[in-house]
Order: sequence, then C-alpha cells, then structure tokens
Amino acid sequence: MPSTIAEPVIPSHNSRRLVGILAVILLSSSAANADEPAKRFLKRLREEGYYDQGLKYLEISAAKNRLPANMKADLPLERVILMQESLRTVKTPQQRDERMLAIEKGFKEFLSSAPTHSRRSETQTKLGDLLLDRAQSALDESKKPENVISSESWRSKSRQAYTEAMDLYTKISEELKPILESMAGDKIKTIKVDGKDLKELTELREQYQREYRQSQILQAKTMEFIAQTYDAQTPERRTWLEKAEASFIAVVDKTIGSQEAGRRMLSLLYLAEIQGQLGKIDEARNSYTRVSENEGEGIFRTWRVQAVTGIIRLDSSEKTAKYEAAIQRGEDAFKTATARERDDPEWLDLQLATAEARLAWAKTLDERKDENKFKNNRRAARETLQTILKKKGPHLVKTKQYLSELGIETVEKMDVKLPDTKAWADTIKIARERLDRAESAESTLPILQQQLASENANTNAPIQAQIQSIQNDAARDRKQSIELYQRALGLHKNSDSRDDLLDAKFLLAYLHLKTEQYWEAVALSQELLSSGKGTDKAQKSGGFALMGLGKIISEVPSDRQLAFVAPMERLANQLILIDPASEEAQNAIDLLVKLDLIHKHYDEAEKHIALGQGNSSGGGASMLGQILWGEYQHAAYEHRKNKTDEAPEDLSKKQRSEKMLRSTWDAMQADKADKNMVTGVNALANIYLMSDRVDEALMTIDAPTKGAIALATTVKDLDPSVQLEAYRLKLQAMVQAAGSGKQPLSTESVTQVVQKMKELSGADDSALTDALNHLAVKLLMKLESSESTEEQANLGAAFGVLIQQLVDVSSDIVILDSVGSSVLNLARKMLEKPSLAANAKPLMVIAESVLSKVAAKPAAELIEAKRKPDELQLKLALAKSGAGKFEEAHALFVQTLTANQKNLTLQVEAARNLQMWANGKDIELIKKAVFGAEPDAKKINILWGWGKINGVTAARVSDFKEIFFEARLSISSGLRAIALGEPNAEKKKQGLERALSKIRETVQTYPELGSPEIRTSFEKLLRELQQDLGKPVVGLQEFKS
Amino acid sequence: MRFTNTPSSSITLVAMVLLVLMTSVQPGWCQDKVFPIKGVAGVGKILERTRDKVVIEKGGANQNFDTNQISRVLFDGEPQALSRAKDSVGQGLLDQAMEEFAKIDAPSIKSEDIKQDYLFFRGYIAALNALRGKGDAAAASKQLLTWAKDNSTSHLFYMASEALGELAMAAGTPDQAPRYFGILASSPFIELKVKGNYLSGKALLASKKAAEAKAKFDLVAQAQVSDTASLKFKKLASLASIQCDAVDGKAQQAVAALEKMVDEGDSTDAELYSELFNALGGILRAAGNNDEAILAYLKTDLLYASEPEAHAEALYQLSQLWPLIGENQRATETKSRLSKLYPTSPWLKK
Repeated sequence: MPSTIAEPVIPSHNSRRLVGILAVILLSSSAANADEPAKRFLKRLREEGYYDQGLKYLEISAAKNRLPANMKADLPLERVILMQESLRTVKTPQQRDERMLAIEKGFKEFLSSAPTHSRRSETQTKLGDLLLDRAQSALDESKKPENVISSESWRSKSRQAYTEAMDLYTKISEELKPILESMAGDKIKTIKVDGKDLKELTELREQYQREYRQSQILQAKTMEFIAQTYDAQTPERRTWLEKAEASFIAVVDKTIGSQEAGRRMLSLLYLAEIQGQLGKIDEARNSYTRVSENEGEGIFRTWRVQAVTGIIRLDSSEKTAKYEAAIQRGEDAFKTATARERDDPEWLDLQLATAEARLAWAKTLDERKDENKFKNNRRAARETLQTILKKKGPHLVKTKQYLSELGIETVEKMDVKLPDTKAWADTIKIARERLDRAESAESTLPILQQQLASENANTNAPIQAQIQSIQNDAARDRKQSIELYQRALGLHKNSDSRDDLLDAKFLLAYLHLKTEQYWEAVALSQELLSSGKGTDKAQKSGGFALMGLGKIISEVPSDRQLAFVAPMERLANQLILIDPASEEAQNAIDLLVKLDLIHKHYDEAEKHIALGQGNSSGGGASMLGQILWGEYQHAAYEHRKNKTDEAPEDLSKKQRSEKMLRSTWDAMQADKADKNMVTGVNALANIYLMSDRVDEALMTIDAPTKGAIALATTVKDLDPSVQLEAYRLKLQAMVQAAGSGKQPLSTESVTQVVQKMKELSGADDSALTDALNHLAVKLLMKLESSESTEEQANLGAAFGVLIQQLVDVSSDIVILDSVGSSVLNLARKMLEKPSLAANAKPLMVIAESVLSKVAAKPAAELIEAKRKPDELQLKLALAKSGAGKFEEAHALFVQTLTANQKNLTLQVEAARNLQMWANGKDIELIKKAVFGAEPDAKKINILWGWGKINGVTAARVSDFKEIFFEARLSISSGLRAIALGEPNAEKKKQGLERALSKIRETVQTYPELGSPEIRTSFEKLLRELQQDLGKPVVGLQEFKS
Repeated sequence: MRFTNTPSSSITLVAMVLLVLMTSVQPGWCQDKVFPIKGVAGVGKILERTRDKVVIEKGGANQNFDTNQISRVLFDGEPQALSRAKDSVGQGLLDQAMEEFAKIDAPSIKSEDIKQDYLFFRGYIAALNALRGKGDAAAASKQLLTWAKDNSTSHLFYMASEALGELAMAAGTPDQAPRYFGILASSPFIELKVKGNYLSGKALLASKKAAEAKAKFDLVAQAQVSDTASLKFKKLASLASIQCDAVDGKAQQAVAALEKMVDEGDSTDAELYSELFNALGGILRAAGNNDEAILAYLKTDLLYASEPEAHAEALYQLSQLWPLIGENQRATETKSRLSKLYPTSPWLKK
C-alpha cells in the first residue's frame, strides 16, 4: 500500500516534489472531523491507498443518500481529490492523461460552482499541482533525444501550464488577502460565516493564513520553473529567475516568528538555489548559511544538511575555488550523521558534493608537481563514490558518471600487513576497515568487467590484471578482518560496548559466510540469534545461519542430510519467534520442508509448514501440495478402477493438497514465482476443476498477474509442458463453465487458446495432441464422476461445441487432427461406460466431421504435416462407425485391411462395425461379422470376423484376453441371432443349441469368463438362449453340474 | 543460570528453604480457598459444592459464594502446578497454563475433589487450546463431555457447558451448541441466562434457525440487567436479531435496520460498531453485493481494529472478497495481516 508519509526533501528543479515538500510544513486544510465515521472512513481509505474503494464508497453512499450533510456539499470535490490521489496507481500514460483531464475538469467545475466554499483555495492549490505536474511532464518530453525537433513546442506547452499554475496561485493570494484582512485581530469576533463559532472561525483563519503563504511560495517557485523552460544564458531565463528571487525575498521578509520558521527556512533554501543559478554566490552563500544555522530537528535538520551541501557546491565552483574549505565542511558535516542517516538522500548528496569538490580540486592540480594531493583527492573521491554507489537514490546517475570518468584505479601501495593491535577498540576499528576495503574494492568489479567486455583481446590485459589484483586484495583483507575480529573477541572487556561486541560478532559471522566457512558462520549466527533476541541484527544473523546451513546441507551426502532437520527446526522456530512473516523465517521453513520432501517425510513436511502459522507461501508447501495431489489422483484412479469408494484418508490428502496450494498461491508474488510454483498453481486449478468449482478455477487461471496463464507467459525458463498445461486447464475450465451453464463458449477465446497451445508445441506437435488428449481424459473423469446424466450430457455437449468451434475456424492439419483424435478418444472411452455411452454419439459425429476435414487434405499436405494416411484412415473409420456411418466405415476398413490383414485391432473394429451396422436384425451382416467377409482374389476373407479373431487369439488368451472373450461372446450372440432368423424350427433349435454350446465350451475352458462385465454379458445371453430353448432359465448354473 | 555466592543471596536462599519447610509443616487445619471475582477470598473448608454455589466454613461460620461470582477455587493440598494453571487460565495465559498443567503428577493426586478438578482443567485447557485453533477439538470435547457426565453438580459445570458449546460452534456443528448453552440459560443467575440465551441464539442463527434464534435474542433484549457484560450481550442481541431477519429472506430490511443503528448509535462504541459492520458485510455478501460488503468490512478493518475478534473476522472476509473483484494482491496482503496480527485466530484455520 502506498505510504502517505512525505519523502525526504531535496531542493529540486522538479515541480513534482514541490507539493510533498510543502505538505511537510503546511498542515492540510482538509483535515477531517475525526468524530464522523464517514469522514474518518474516507480519510483512512486514503491513508491506506484504497482510492478506488474511496470512490466507490462516495458513489454508493451518495446513491443511497447516506452521506452526512457536510460531506454532501464536498462530494464532487472529494471525488476529484480521490481521482487525483489515485493517479499514482494508473498504469499507462494514456490512462494518466485521461485521468488528469477529468481531474482538471472536476476541479474547475467545483471552483465555478462554489465561489465561496471554505475549501476553495485548497481546491485551487490542488488544481495548481495538476498543472505543475503537466508542465513538468512536457518539460521532460522536451529533453528526450527523440523529441529534439519538437523540443521547443514541448517547452512552450510546459511554459503555458506553469504560467497557468502561477496565475492560479496569484489568484489564491488575491482572493485570500481581503478575507484575511476582514478576519484580522478582533474583527473576527464580529463576522459571521456559516454559523461558525469563534473557535471554528479562528481555525478557519489559521487555515487561510497557511494557504495564503503556501500560495506565495508556490507562486515564487513556479517562476523558477518557468525560467527552466528557457535555455540557459537567455535573457528570459534570467528575468524569470530574478522575479523568483524577488518573490522569495519578499516571502522571507514576511515570514517572521517561530510559527513561520518552516516556511522561512524552505523559502531561504529555494532562494539560495535561485541565487546560485543567477551567479550571485555571496547572496546564495548567505541564504544557505541562514538555513545551515538553524538548530531545529526533523525536517529542519534535513534542510540544514541540504544547505551545507549547497555551500560545498558553491565553494567548489570554478569561480569560488575554495576546494579545501568545501571538502572540510563536507567531512565535518558527515561526521555528525548517525549510522541510520547516512543512507538518507540528503546525506548521500552531501557525500556526492564532497567527492565533486575533491574531483574539482584535483582537476586544478598539476599531476606531477602536486602528485600526493592529486592522487589523494582522486582516491578519496573514488572511495566516497564507490561507497555511495551501493545505495539507491537520485545520486546514482552522477556517481556512475564520475566513476566512469575516473577510470581504472592506479594500484596504490596499500597497508597489507596484519597490524599488531592490543586493544579492543583499535582491533575492531582496523578489522572493520579491512572489511570495508574489501567490499569497496569489489564494488568496482562490475564497472571493470563492463569495461573489459567493451575492450578487445589485445587491450584488455591491464583490466584483467586489475580485476585479479582487486580480487586477491579483497580475499586478503577479508582474511585479515576475520583474524582481527577473532582477536578482538578475546580482548573485549565488560567495560567495552556491548553493542560493538554484537556488531563485531555479526560482521565476523558475515565474513565467515562470505569466505565459505559455513560451520563457523552458522555457529556464530546462532549465538547472535539467541543473544540478540528481537533485534534487526538477530534476524539478519538468522538469515546467515540459514544460508550457512543450506550450503552445508547441499554439500553433505544425502544420507546425512536428515541430521540437519533438528538444527534447522530450531533455527526456524527462533526466526518465527522474532517475526513469523519475515523472509528469513519463511525461507527457513521452506528449506526444512524441502528437506523433508527430498526424504519423503511428508507428515514432517506438513508439520513444518504449519510452523509458518498460515503463511505456507514457500515452494516447499507448493511441492508438498503437488505430491499430495498426485497421491490423491493415484488413489482416485485405483478406486475408479476397482469401483470402490474413496477413503477418508484419500479425501484428506486432497483437502490438504488444496489448502497448501491455495495458501501458497495467496501468498505468492508473481515476480518471485518459479517453475515449481507455477506447476502448483496449475495443480490448484486442476483441483478446482475436478471439484466442479469452476469459478475458483477460472480465478486461479485468469488472475491478472499470478493466474496460471499469466505465469505461463511471464515466468522464465518454463517447460512448454507446464505452459501447455495452463492453457489446457483454461480450455477445460471454459468447457466446464459452458457445461454448467455459467458462461457460453466464445469461439474467439477457444481459437486463441488453441493457437497459443500450438505455438508452444513448436515443432513437436505431438505435445499439442497430448495436451488435448489430456483434456479429453480429464473431461472423461469429470463425466465419470458426475452422477447426473443431464450434467454429463451438458459437459459432453460443451466439449463438442469447443471442438466444433475449432473446426469451423481452423484449417490447420495439426490442430484438426489433434482435436479430432482427442474427441474420438473421449467418445470411445465414453462408450466403454454404460452410463456415458448414450452421450458418446454426438461426439463421434463431431470427430467424424473433423477427421473427414483432415482426410480431405491433399496427401502432400498430410505428409508435410507428418500425418500418416493409414492412421488417419483408421481414426476416420472408427469415427464414422461411432457416428453411425457404418457403410462408409466398412469401406474404409476394407481399404485399410486390404493392405494389411494382420492388424488385429483393425479386424476387431471392422467386426464391431459390422455388428453395430446389423443392429441385431440384418442376418447377412451378422453372418459377415461372425464368419468374415470381403474375400480377396484368393477367396480369403479380408475381414476376418469374430470366428477367425477367436481362432487367432485363442493361442494367446493371456495376451488378448479381452478380445478373445469379446469374440466368443459375439460368436454366440451372432449364432443366436442367425438361429432366431431361421424359419425352420428344427434348424432354429440346432442353431440355438450351437450358440449355447459355444458358451458351454467357453465356461468349461475358462470358468471365470474374462472380466466380471463380460461374465455378466455371457450370463445374460445364456439366459436368453435358455428361454429361447424352453429350458429352465438358470444362467450359468446350468453348467455347474 | 549463574549463581553467585554472595552473603545476601545465601540469606535469601536460606529464607526460601525455611519458608518451604514451614509451609509443608503447617498445622492440620484445612486451607481450601474460594476466590470471588470481587471481594475477599474465603479460606477454610469447603462444605458444599453445586452448580450454583460453593459453601466454605471457617471458624464455625459458613460463607456462600454464587458460582457465577467465583474466579477460582483452590483445594487444600492440590499440586501447586494445578493452582498456577488455574490462575493462568483465569488470566487468559493459555500457554503458561498448559506449561504448568503439564508439570502435574496426576497419579500422585489422592483427593477425589482435586482429581475432579484436575480432569476438568485437563479438558478445559484442551478446549481453550482447540478454540484458538491449535489443539484437537474432538478430543477436548470428548474429555469435557466425559467429565460433565460424571460431574453435573460441580461448581465448574457451567464453564464446561459453555466450553462444550463453543467447541460445537468451532467444529462447524452449531446445531449441537444450544443444548450446552441452554444449560447456562437455565441457571438461576440472570447474567448467565443472558449469556446462555445470546449464545444459543447465535448457534441457532448459525444453524439457519432464524425464528428460534430471534426468540432467544428477544429474551436477551427483554432481560433487566445492569452489569457491563450483560449490557453488551443485550446490545449484540439487538444486532443479531436483525441478522435473523436477513436469514429469513428480509435482507433489504435488515440492511436498512443495521444502517439505522449505524446512524443513530455512538460510533465511538468500537465493540458494537465493529460487530455492526461485520454483520452488514455478512448480509451484503450473502446477497451477492460484494462491493458494499467489502466497504463494510473495510470499516471494521480501518476504523475498529481495536476489536481483535471482529477485526480478525473482517480481515478473513476481506481476504475472501478481494479476489472476487480481481484484487488478489490485496487478498494476499490481507491474509498476511491476519496471520501476523492474529496468529492463533480460528479465522486463520477457515
């Protein structure tokens, strides 16, 4: 959430910072009445950065007429202010421009409709902010190299906006002046404003006074901004700077007394800066000095540092050339900075200014004559620059530039001998110097390596040597630093500082870690973690211990890793105690969990995840969630296969898996996601889909930054299979959503998703087929688990629609073949399940239509797409058969089997096709199915029929069990149908007896009759035959004797 | 620990040893203690203990304590760890209570009264631990139930009943809770009646028995009470009564009634207002009005975070609602705040 604390202040030419600066010294006039929940709530929403919710709240409350009367009047203003505050959340420049226009319009409308409103000048100021912002944007544009031609036009736009802002500030002053005069002194007791009492009127006067002064400062500062829109050295620039100077002088003169101290100091600081630009060095120094002599704390101290920095820059200018004084001033000032302050922007700028002074001085020196001064200044400047290079902030641009100009450091004679110290203070001082020297030297490596990359092989030798030398020196300095710190620990006395002792141990632990002495680092870090409870150092030490232990664990043999679980557990608990949400605590838990997972201690892993008190955010939790999900799926498959109910422990695995994956996802930051986490997100979506929680699945898949699809495109180095899975899930979710009537399938979306899947498949288009087949399998599982036929029909239909939409828009062989094959597979699997068979035919019709489209492609295209025509023909034949186009299927089977009669799969399918075609009625077709058909030239049947299939498989029943029994059953069934069609009663009886004897033979040879399903079919058929023959209908009991 | 052999520490040590010795050789009079919530403890021999009162005798005079006014009862000769555990329970220091309780050498307890007490606190501490989301609720429930069956006349019986009711609520079986909370409502003490009826009403409401719940809340609203706790229940009952209307399909009227309460009440009453906005949030969410539900819960979050239970609930609900308007990042942040601020809250386990 954005913070509302104003950032530290640096005098700047940038108008965007101005508002923040003034906010520090000028109390907001719109402070809400804290007693009213509506105002308080709006204020809190703002403070927490919930601008969108603020706008929503105003909108809803206004619509429901639930705003207090005093807020109703301000409603349009509040709305616009919220819009302005929400500008920082706007993502694109275009949205920003649109929002700014709307805000400007809103402010102007408010101002014209409420000429006497008490928040008028506040509104004007905010409008001014907006104009300043716009002016600054235009000025930034004018400086871009690509806008060199239109630069003047941008500057003109900028100037116009600044001028508008300035006019506005002038107007505020003009409007407020007579009002303040009417409220001056005792006059306030006689005036009446909106029924306000004296206390409220006094507060209003103070508000107006603040706003009046604020407008004057803004007016003066805007003049300086206008000056910047002109080129340097132009008369216009100078004129505007002089106007700004005069205005600030006037403000400074009028801001008297302690209450105005802040405004006076800030004005002086701005004034000094302007005077510096005008070349009025003495005046500028005088203004800076007045600021530097203030003794206030907080923002006043910040300004003091800025003023000193200003003086340093004035003194180190060519015109003044008081380099030594400038450097001395900078060093003296820096000594007063606390450790925490040193990284603050104003202190970093002060260090930069001091380094600039040194460089400027060195430039004036004769390298030979003043060799020492020259080198010392450059070295000191380099050291300062290298130190501040490690800190973030606006100083970095210049720092890098100066370092680059300084180039390679000349190797200087360093103090390399280990000093013989005897006292604690000396020892830790030198130890720290060695450590800093090592770190500082290494910080130059990236620059040197960059230079090395740009040199050619002939000229890079000196740079390489320099890099090597720096690395050697750094290693030596670290070694010495370790020795010194160890010595220091022995020298420490009770009277020495305990903070310094803690610091020494902390740095020693760091050095051990850096020099890969992990055991030492761990031991010392853990000691610090225990002794420095709750401190920042303790927490960081925990991080060291964690890194050390992680390294040790990764280096020991696998069978010894478990010995580290206990210390790791202790460490995690210690870190959790300090801050359960800290990165260190989370990393410790994560490492522990991963260790458990490597060794398959899943219960332990879960226990360790629970240490995070609900923050199962690590990769370990995701991994465990995936493992449990995998185990659940395996168990569920076994239950489906064995037709048993899922056990409570299986369901528990699913729930635990979901819990872990979900909590990981909730806590996950998209920019930190890795392959494992992405796979976890996919698994979570899968769980939702398999549990029919389509809304949650869609949320998990489509979430803007960390949904499965977003991650599939943003996380680096992902396997295409993981990416494909995300899109496959998307398709499945779309189908399930359509199947449950939640949202219709959009052709455009389906096409986009499949096209993306094809791109991801790349050259290996089998990946696309596999993914779509996987989708079909998943949908089949959903169909199987569904208890409602209507739901099954809907889901099947939705899948069909998805395929049909693809077919309608695609002519791509790869896509068509992949989807056709997957829908065919799905339909065929549905046919195997009696409860689903009824819904298979529409899918077969679709499969047939898709595969026909593929088969119609020229052979050359098929070959180019690496499709085998015979495989395609088989799939098409199966689809035609399934779609009820038996004759066409038959022709295709004949055509294919003519080329290869021995394809058992095809023979079985051809016999089935004939059987289905006969539909139990067409005796000729039944005969063909049983006895074979389509004799070739040698009068050998190309289609074997069940008889020959039975013969072929009888020799290897164990290998072709299902086909063998299906053939035996089909023969008996066919013989019965043929017999029933026989008009002669005796022949009919003989035929029926023959059919029955086939079953008897089968039972006698194979009493188990294949699978339970086929045994049931045999039983049914036998009972029919017993009935046909007038025998007792006892089924298989007949053969028991 | 570092021991120094200074004279003063030796003296302290000797004094401590003497004190222990003296305590252990106290004369044979009985030292049962009854600590009332307010007033002076009664020390002597407990003559009678029922659900409703404890009678203690000292020097021939009997002193009666109503059980709803008792803070804790200590038996003469009970393990110190048990006494300390009871004290910690009373102060809400559960971890400390568990630590002390674990030190008790149960087999060494001979007195039936102390055994009974021991078994109660074993179940009660387990229940409290389960209610904060850490222990096994089913096991705690079983222990307390077994205890309650054997000790239905104990002075701790109302406490056990309340805990059993809370456990049923936490286990997601609110329909089981009214039978336990009903025991409180049937007590002779008006404060317990109010509490029992309010809690029964909440349980019935959670079981979607809005009419029955409303009847309970009406009883609370009609009760003539003046103590702070009961007044709080009265206030919350009027709020819950409106929630009953929402469950009964009168969501719009319920929202209007709650908004009226918001407008007419004192918004500095954080306890009431946090509940009010949570109730509003719940009704709005159930009605599918996620935008307004979020705003209602945000009011609890941003204005009444001083109420830990209501705040935890609001954070949980927000973490569930944010994703519905596409704000997953906020959901994550809110959940993280929930776990950081209330690591033992049952809302974290939902």
